[in-house]
This record gives sequence, structure tokens and C-alpha cells, in this order.
Amino acid sequence: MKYKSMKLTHTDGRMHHLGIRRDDIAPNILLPQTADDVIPAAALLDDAEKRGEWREYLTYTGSWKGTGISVISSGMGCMPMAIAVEELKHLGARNMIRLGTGSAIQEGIKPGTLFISASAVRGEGATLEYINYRYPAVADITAINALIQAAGEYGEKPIVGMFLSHDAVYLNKKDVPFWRERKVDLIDSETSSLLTISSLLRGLRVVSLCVASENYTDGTSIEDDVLGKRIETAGRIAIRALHIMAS
Amino acid sequence: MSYTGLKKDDVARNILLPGDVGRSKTIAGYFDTAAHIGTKKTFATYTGKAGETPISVMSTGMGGMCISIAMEELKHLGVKHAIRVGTGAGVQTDIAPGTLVIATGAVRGEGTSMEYVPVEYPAAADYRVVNALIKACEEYGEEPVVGLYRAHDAFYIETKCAHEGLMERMQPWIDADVKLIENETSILCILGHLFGIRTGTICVNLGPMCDKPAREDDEMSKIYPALLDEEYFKGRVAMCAKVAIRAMQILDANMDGGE
Repeated sequence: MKYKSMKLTHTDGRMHHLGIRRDDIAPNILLPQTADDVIPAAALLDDAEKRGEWREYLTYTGSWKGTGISVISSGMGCMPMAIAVEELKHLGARNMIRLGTGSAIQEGIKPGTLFISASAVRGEGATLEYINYRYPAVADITAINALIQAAGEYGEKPIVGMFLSHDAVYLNKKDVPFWRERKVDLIDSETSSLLTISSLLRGLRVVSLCVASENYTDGTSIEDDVLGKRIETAGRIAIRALHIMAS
Repeated sequence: MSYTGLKKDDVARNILLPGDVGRSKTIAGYFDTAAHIGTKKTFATYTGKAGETPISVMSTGMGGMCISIAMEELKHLGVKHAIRVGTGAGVQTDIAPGTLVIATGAVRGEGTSMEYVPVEYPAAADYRVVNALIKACEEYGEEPVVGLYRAHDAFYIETKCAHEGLMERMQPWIDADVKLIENETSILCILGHLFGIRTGTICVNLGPMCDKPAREDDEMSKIYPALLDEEYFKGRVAMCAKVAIRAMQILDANMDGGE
């Protein structure tokens, strides 16, 4: 099998980058972007304890209504996300949902809107080292369905659409009209890496749930406290979706 | 329309797209009512009803070019759902001949989609179509394989009867867990996304293409085991069409429900 990396650990058995062992995590994983985002997400579980902190990867593990769930930061960008997916696969991960933010680019979409990634444009470099660009970044259908169901239970109806993930945040607004015309919904930095590499490694069911923090097309954005509440709602939906996928 | 010869109201909002020109009439035979609208170039069109659901079938001809013409013209005719029904060869060797394979997306191994969007743009089937096809399979007691296709342009480069070097070409797609190879799904899904038409594909697996190379004196059935028994193969293609027709009913009902 080509896509099978070596398990790279420290002498004490902890994974090289994530700094955790197999018994530190549950098979159901929420992936916020940075360590700052992990603690509020972990607080949504019934119980959670810190199990690791290494580089940009902060790990909390606990449970929600009896389902074991870990919250682990993916780091910023497709490079650390790629490492996270590889090492989490070695540790027995099965269901993973990225919980993040992005920038909407279609007209009339209000900041605060929730987006589920059905697919993603591979506008980054990490996945190109794995396989050529002709291979599509597509989310798992059971993961999409679980998020839609969970969102409905919270009275939310996310847009299920196409993301564009890329590497250069300070070039974010470059080519927005081009991608808007081609029906891309949301720009983020990690989703195509999550989808593509999970698909190549097999046995992982993954998707992203992101909150639009702004709209590049009309220049609107929302206050941090409002955004925080929307991320909290998204976090509850993602946890319930993992619960559905695990059952 | 200039290629398909169709005009407004000739097709329903739900349309099946086989590649084989002769298969349009066969598939129309599974509708409850069907009328032959016309045949122009590779586009043989029938429109009628399956139960109360308005439905059409139009052949596209083979390849990305043909199906792109079909989609370009259908977008002007009010089409909302388009499902390709066809055949393909198994890239993974463990999928039994005759198995139905539902596309979640496709590797863009063809040239047509490159003229439309950059190569990093994903060819992804609409998740509602994937769900409807899975549900329709369940209703018929089918156990489909659900996963990625590879679509390509040169039959005699990537088939059991290919020129030398087949395994070198196919190994990356075997490794990447691609399920089936055919010709049209990648550009179908991309144009569906660009045009706001919900698209997907279901195909019958003819048999594995990478288990052993064909020999000069092999019969077709040795190359594609699903063809060994002609009646069996016809039955599988019929099941594929019936599943797609049922999926259209599910999709159409949900659309009326406000989706």
C-alpha cells in the first residue's frame, strides 16, 4: 500500500508531532485550528481532560453522552493539518470534523452563516506532494449527512458547498471574483488537506464545519463575541455529528 | 438547441444520461410513459413519467466532449437533476463484476474539464444525488460500492486491452482507492456545480481491469467478466437504470419539499 507512513514516535511512545499516544485519544475527533480554540470546544463535552501539548497540537479527550471524543488543534494551514491526519490515523482515528472559520465569497451570504464542506478546491501545496491535482478533495457522505442532521436538531441549516483551501493568508483576496464565478462558497486554509489525505489513507470519515467570519464580496464581518457564539453553536453541532457517526 | 435538437419543454427537469446511444430507448422502456422526442447526432431523447415524476433520458455519446455539450444545452432547458447511468471497469480488483458503483467524485483524467476550470478544482458529485442513489439501491436490495471514479479520454491507453504500460499508469489510482474507470463523470460533476444542476453517476462494474492483462485471443467476456452471460449483463444494466429512475423520484420529491 503506497499511502502508509511509518509511525514516528519519541522514545516514550508519544507521536513525533502530536506528542500523544493511542490511549490519549478517542476515535472521534474535533479539529479546531489553534490551541486557543481547543479549550472552549472541549468545554462543550460532558467531561474532558488535557492529554497532550506539543508544538501547535493541544489535545483534550473526554466524552459526550457516552461517546468518546477528542478535541485536537490542527495548527494553521495544510501542512500541520496533513501531519495531524497522518499521526491521528496511526492512533486509531475514525471520524474527524474540522471546526473552524472561513471567508464567504458569494453575494448576500451573511457572516455567521455555517458551511459544510462537500468538496474543496486544492489551492495549496501539501496535497500536491501526495497526488496530482486531478484527484478531487471530496468529503465523506456519512459525515456530511451527520452534520446536516445534527444542525437540524439545533435549528440550523448550513450551506453545503465547495470550499477553497490555500496557503497564503495575506493573499486571501486574490482571485476572489474568479472563484466566486466558479461557485466556490468559502475560503479556508485546511479543508482540502483534511479531505484529500484522509481519502488517500482510507478508513477515515471526515468533513469540515466552518463559520463565515466575513464576506469578501460585500466587505461585511461580525464582532468577535458574536463569532464566538456562532463557533460555539458549530461546536455543539459537530460534537453531536460525531456522536451520530460513532453510533 | 444546435447539437441536441431539443427545445423548451422537450425534456423533464430530471434526466438520465447514458453514454450508449442505443440505451436511451431501453431505459425509456422502464418509464411508465415515454415518447421519443428526437435523435440528433449522439443525442437520442425520450421524455415521459415514472409514476408521477416527470423524467427524460438522453444519450450523450462517449467522452467528456459529448457530455459537456449535453450539459451546456440542458442548462437552458430547465434541467435540475442529471444522473449518468453507464458501465465502467473496476480499478480495484476486489469489486465483483456486475456490482453497482456510485460516484462521490472523480479524478479529472480528461481534457474537457481543463478548459473550464483549473486542475485543482474538485469534480464532486452532488451529495443529495449520492444519498438518493444509495437509498434507491437499498430499496432494490442492492449493495453498491460508493467512492471515487477516474474519468479519462483514451480508451486504448487505460483498459485491459491497452498499449504497454497500463500498470504504471493505473498504480497511482489503485493506491488512491479509486473504484471505477469511465469517461464522463468528472466533467459532468463540474458542469453540474457550475450550472446549478445536481449531478451524479451510477455504473455497472464490468470487471477488474488491473488483475491481469488481456491476451490477443481473449473473448470480450474474458476481458470483462460481467459480459460472460449476456442476460445477466442486461439485467445488471436494467437494475442500474431502475435504481437511477427511483433516485430521481426521491430527488424530485425532496425538491418539491422546499429544497
